Formats: sequence, structure tokens, C-alpha cells
Amino acid sequence: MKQFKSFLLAGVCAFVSVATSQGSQVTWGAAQSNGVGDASGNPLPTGDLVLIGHFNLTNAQIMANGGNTAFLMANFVQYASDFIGDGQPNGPGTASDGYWLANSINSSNVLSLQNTQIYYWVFNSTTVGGATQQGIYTSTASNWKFPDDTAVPPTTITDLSEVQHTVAGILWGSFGTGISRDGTSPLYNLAPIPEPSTVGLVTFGLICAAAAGRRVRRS
Amino acid sequence: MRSFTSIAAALFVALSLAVGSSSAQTVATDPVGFLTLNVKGTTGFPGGTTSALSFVGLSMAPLVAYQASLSSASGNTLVDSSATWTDNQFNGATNNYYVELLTGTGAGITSQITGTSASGKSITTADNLSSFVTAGTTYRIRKNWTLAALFGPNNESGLGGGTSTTADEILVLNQSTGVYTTYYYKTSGVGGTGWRSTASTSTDVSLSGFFKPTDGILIRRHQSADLGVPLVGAVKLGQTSIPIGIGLNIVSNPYPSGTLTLGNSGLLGSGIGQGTSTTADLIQVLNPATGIYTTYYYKNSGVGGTGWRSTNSTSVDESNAALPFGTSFIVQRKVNSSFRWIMPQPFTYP
Repeated sequence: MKQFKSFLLAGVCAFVSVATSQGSQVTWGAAQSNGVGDASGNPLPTGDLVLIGHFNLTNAQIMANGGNTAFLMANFVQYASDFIGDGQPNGPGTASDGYWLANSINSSNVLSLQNTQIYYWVFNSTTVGGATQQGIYTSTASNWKFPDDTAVPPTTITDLSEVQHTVAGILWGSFGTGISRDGTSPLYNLAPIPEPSTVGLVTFGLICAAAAGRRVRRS
Repeated sequence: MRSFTSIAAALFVALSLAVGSSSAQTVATDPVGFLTLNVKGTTGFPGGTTSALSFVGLSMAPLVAYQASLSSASGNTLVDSSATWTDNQFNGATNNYYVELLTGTGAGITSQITGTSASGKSITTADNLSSFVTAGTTYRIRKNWTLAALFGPNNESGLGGGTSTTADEILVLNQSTGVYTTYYYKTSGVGGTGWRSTASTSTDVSLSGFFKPTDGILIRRHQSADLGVPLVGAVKLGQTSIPIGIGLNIVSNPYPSGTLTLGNSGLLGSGIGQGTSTTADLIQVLNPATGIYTTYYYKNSGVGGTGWRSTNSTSVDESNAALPFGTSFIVQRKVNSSFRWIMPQPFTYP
């Protein structure tokens, strides 16, 4: 957790230090129609953490390791962070639960992110360590790439509503449980993060099952 | 920016100029004046930044070379039966002029002149303007801005000279191809010195590199100090018709006075693509001091209501956001068709 806070702080510092340079700019959020909610279909409250960045993993690897937050974080290059409710896309207070809007500036090239895939990583907590659910989203739309700093203009605009409702877009989470605060649009949902002990038990169980299978085949 | 307005407005002088020798050409021309084009240096940026980008707008027009009324048009040929021009007077590799229609359904449209016929009393244009012309449609001919006219034949403006890799760069986008032409002032090495493009170290482009007032120009400065480039010319009057193609367009505000805003720009009525921040056409304005772009669009649905918005907020009305003179800006056309931006004159004159 302490390690993550340091990482987050470093990200914020990097953001500030390049705020006056000609880096790249990414507009991101859930600010058009669909918000994001927890697994039960409740729009996430103001203050929950959202990250934008790139995984140095394939989508299949991300999905296979969804329960291993530390592993995912170790392979995540963060471009910026924000919180649910920022930008008040649907007005002040709880009206913007599940929504956020951010214009983030950083150097894609310094982070070696230029032209790489954009991912949103959403948590049901103000911190990664406090989260029990998460959502990982991306899109095959061409605008979901980090701009090159040298492009004219070095900008892109993305929104959660562009995420496909399939494994192409939702790597951890789901779609359609509950309604966004606009009263009509279905939510993108988070999914529980398995407890490490649960992950260990499942892994142990799989190993035992494999061993038992092998023994049966030999006999 | 307000001081620019004051300076420019104070210096506008309405002159009656005799252009040419024929009495048919002796007419009242646009007022004249000057403004300063601001070119940002790298000062103020964090260490390691080797260049700074400025979107420059040619908000003064070249002086009128000829104006009168058309008799007819056919295809790419415009006929003025009273014309007194000479063969090839308004065309040539280093003698570039354009015509602008002033009245009728095509008011504000411009086209490059590719031929001038004395006997035929006609000019040939790069585009077919015949559908916009009836007998009596008025027109003006102006010489294009050239590198020599804008920055001085010997770079008297003070842009950083050098080689193609060290000199300040002047970039002009070809909208249809998406390719930039890069100009610079060459001070040494093979190929001699003078205005060059990156296509050739030896070809003088001081007169052949040309621009219209609606062309947006990017200047990538490698020097630390900011630079002011004075631009003396005529004040363009009347509406302007600017072609906006699919994809990236870099457009200048051609008016040196008044306040051109998103709300009074005519963009909405001209056919700007509406939608959400991810689907609508985008207007992007660079703040050269910070290097940050502000992105605007016309929102017609979703949370936050409808109207001009920036990507900073879905609900704050941005119809008063300015498109300042002396600058250019990006129009990203996402809708799969082109349109003409009919930009009204944003000030009252006289």
C-alpha cells in the first residue's frame, strides 16, 4: 500500500512538472451517458479512485490475473489518476455519482506510452489497497491510444461509453447491472477482487485436481 | 489581446487607393493597419524543451491588386469584359494571386489564379466558381502572402536561422494530403542561404512559398526568446468562406479586429458536426504559454445539456470562447463530409 501511495505521488508530481510543457493531453472519464457502478448496480460514490494508463500485458494476461492487483500494478504504467465526481459531468453532489471528467496532461514519450492502448482502472475505494472491487476497461476505438507528444495536436478524447460490452472492452467487470444517474443509461460494473487467500485456495485446488487427474490416468 | 485590438483599430486607415491605371479599377479599398504576430520561444518551459509551437494567424490581408465586377463564368474561367489586365499578370510560380468573390451566394470564397488572359479578359482559377457567379458579381484580386512579404526577404523578422535541423520552422498543412511543408531560413551549408523548404537546400522559396489569410501557420521556434513579427496589410471586409475538409484543418482568423467567438463564428450555421466530445467536430486552441490545448465542440445530447462546450466541463457554456486574431486553430472534422465555414465579419465598419 505504501509502495502504491509512493507510486501515485510520483505520478502526481510528474503531472505537475509537465503541466507547462508541450506533452500530450488525454480527455477521459464517464461523462457522456454511461456511468460506472459497483457489482450490485449502485453508481460509485464521489471520491472513488480511477486510473488511466497502459498495461504491459496482453488483455488475456490482464483477465487471467485480475485477482492479483499487485501483479497488475507492477505491470501498469500510470498516465494520470482522478476521482469519481470530478468535473461534475451530471451536476453537483450525488448527481455525478458514477461519473467523472478529466483533462490530463503528461508526457507520453517520457513514459514510453505513445501510441499504446489506453486502459481505465476503476476501484470502489479512494485507494487501490482499500478496494474490494475493480473494473478494467479499454476500447478498440482508434482514439484509445496515447498521443505522441510531437503530434499536432497531441490530444485524444475518450469516454467510458466507447467501451465494448464484450471481452474486447471489459477485462474485469461487467455491463448492465443498474442505471446511471442520468436515469436511462446502463452502468458499467465493477467485479469483486478475490481475496489473496481465496486465490491461493483456488490455485491449490487446481493443483490438487491436476495431480489427482494425473494419478487417475496412471492407474 | 485587447491591446492588439486597440493598436490595430487605431491604425486602421481608410484609404482610397488607385490600384492600377484604369479608371475602372480606381475604387475604395479596405482599411489598412498592422498587428504583431506572437511567436513563442522556449522560455518558461521546463528544461529539456527544445522547441515551442505557436499557431499563427494571418489576420491582415495583402493589399487589393484589382477589383471590379464579373460578366460571366464558365467552368474555371471568370470573365470581366471591362478588364484591363495583361497576360499572366496574376499567375506564375513567384507571382501568386488569388481571387475572392465579394457578392452573391459565393461571397467570401477564394481561389488561386492559374491563368490571366488579356485578350479573353478572363482569369482561370484553381476551382470551379461558376455556380457562384452571375453578371455583376463583384470580386477582388490580391497577391498571396509570401515568406518574403511576411518575414522579410532576408529574414528581417528575426526568426532563428540555421539549417533544417536548427532553424525555426514554419509549417503549413496541406489539408487534403495531411502533409506539412516546412520552411526555414538557411544561413549556411551547401545550397546557399535564404528561404528554403525541406524539399531542397538550394531552391529559393521566398516568393513561391505562399499563404492566404485563412491559412493557419505553425511556427516551431528553437530559440529561447519570444518574438514579435509585425504584419502590415489590409483589413479584410465582408464574410469569409473557408473550406473545411475531413480530418485536420488549421485555420486562421482573418479579421484583425472585433471578437470572433464560437457563438458568433458562424460555425454552427455552416454545418459543424455536433455530438459528444468523442463524436463531434472539434475546435482546438493552443495556449502557447502553457502548451495546453483547449478543445471545444458543439454538444447536442447527453448529461450536461446542449451547446458549445469544452472538454473541461459538460455543462459550462463556451459560446463566448474567443478565436483570437493573430492566431490560428485546429478544426478536426469528424463527420465524413466537407463543408464551407461561412465566417461573418466580427466587427462593424465603417
